[in-house]
Amino acid sequence: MAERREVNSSSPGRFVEGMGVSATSGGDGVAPGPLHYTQTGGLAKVAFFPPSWYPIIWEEMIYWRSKFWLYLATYMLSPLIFLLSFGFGAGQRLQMLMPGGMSYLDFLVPGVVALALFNSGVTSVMVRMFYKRLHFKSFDAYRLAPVGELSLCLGYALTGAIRGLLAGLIVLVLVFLLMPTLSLNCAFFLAMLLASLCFGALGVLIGLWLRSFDDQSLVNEFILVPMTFLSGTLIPVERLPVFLQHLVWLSPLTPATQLLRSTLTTAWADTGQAVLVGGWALALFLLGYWRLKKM
Amino acid sequence: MEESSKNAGAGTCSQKQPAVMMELKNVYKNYGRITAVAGVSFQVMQGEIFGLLGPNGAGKTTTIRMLNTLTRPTTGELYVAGYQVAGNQVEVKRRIGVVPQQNNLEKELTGRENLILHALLHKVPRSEREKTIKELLDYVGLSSRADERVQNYSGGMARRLLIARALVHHPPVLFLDEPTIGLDPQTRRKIWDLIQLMNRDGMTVLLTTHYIEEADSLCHRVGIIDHGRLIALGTPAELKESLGKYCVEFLNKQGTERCFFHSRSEARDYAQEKDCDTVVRRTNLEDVFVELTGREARELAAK
Ligand SMILES: Nc1ncnc2c1ncn2[C@@H]1O[C@H](COP(=O)(O)OP(=O)(O)O)[C@@H](O)[C@H]1O
Ligand SMILES: [Mg+2]
Repeated sequence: MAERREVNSSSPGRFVEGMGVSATSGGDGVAPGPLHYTQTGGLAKVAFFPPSWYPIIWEEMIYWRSKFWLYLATYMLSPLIFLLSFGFGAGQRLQMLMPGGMSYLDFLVPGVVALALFNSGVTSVMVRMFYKRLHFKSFDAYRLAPVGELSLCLGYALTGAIRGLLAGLIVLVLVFLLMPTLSLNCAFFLAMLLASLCFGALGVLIGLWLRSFDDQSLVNEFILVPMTFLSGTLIPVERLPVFLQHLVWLSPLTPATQLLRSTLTTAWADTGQAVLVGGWALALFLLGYWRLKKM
Repeated sequence: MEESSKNAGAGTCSQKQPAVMMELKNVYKNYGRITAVAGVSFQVMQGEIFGLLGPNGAGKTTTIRMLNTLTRPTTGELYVAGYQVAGNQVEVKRRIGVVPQQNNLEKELTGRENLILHALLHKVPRSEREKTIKELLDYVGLSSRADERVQNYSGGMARRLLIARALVHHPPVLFLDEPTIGLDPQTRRKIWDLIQLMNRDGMTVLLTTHYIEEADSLCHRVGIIDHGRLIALGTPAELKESLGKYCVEFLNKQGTERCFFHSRSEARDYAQEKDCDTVVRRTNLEDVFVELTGREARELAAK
């Protein structure tokens, strides 16, 4: 028993050599505090490529590899229902809702794209972070990595954005099948990109905030579902009750939908709306970052 | 502990004295009204296997989480690998491996993918990544199951993968929180062997456990922690000697009673005077633990 207890007396340098590390050890001026400390090196190289958020995307892609068809089917379903029921079913009747004689179908398509970006973007990150943090506890493993909070937030926001974009593209394909005359443009795709980043950031923020399953249903019922229906996606904001018309501007989905709609019809971005969506994206991202930093 | 801190304070660049790899200075952690850690101070030297021994809820996990940057202390200072933890989180994280109490692997990924993810997060250079992972899978005996999803792993396999994962970036400091909890005896032995192997390679290890024999046989030094306070610190031999190397155990109306003696003859004499059945044996770490935690409970009750 006693022999085993001898403290391993490897010289401080030995480990360092074995690990191929450049930083060193042993009291030569690197002692914080009064004591004799060893500052042992980690990995010496700090690579700029791949960036620190890359592993999170890498992991996401593993899920895509095994579940791509499932995602495809899931993301197809609700837009299809919206397009068929609102667009082709009630479309003729809903025409009278339209301010300024726009066709309801032209109104609906960017709305459904916005919804796809929003729902899949926000929900995918939110649920993933929720489970990682509270169920599998694997989020600790990310917090233990020498990766800054900014990169972690960015990585997760990007996974949400990518999911949103996948869902948005699926909607576009569906729309093309149903109405082949639709014409797309560059500004519209840029708007999709901006909106998806904004929703990814929202997903991160909610994902970091949730404390329990109850929280998750509260968020669904009180934030996500109202936003889905009230943000000018399926019904013009002008047709909402007056008090709601102002309230819906608290939702980032409102300017995002309008931005998508204006770019799709005019091939040009309304700067005010673009700034609003960008501002939301930045604000949500910084809030998420702050939340993670405080954890 | 007294002695080592004196040495360290006086010491300059001498190679003989082992360096301090971890230090806590009067660390407190409160969760609302609960005090999880109440003024703990100790040091862990380079190349040591240091064990934190204590019952459930003693504050072991909280202590480890403060050292590994996951939890911020309410007050007090912590140093790991030469860095103050507060303000140097990233530097600390580069130099530590952490095996958590609860399996936090990605269940949907395979064992190998979990290790790759960790290597990516720690920026292990591409050229070394594959080789390191292959070696580690061999090291923990998981090569044949590496491409299965972690979901299908048994508790022991998951624990071994957690250890492999903690080593992917070659950290000089390793934290293990209850590394053998809930494992069968064979797997537990295997994990002990792994820990000793890693330590022989120069790694400083801090582990927590509530298994006394684990602390006794594995750790160079043990800190006994209860109700958030460090109530004893030393090598297992020192701790036993502090009570007395020999123990006389007998049953009376109050239950089992133990008396401790510094020499065998004293113990034997005492046993012979008793008119009931007695057992004379060597003191073990469990005696120390029970004595100290009992004494502390009495002191707390007296306050
Ligand atoms: N996140 C937390 N919130 C509130 N109380 C906590 C939290 N973590 C630990 N505690 C409390 O702190 C005490 C110490 O817990 P812990 O460090 O997990 O003990 P151990 O690991 O020794 O079993 C316990 O009373 C526990 O309930
Ligand atoms: Mg614990």
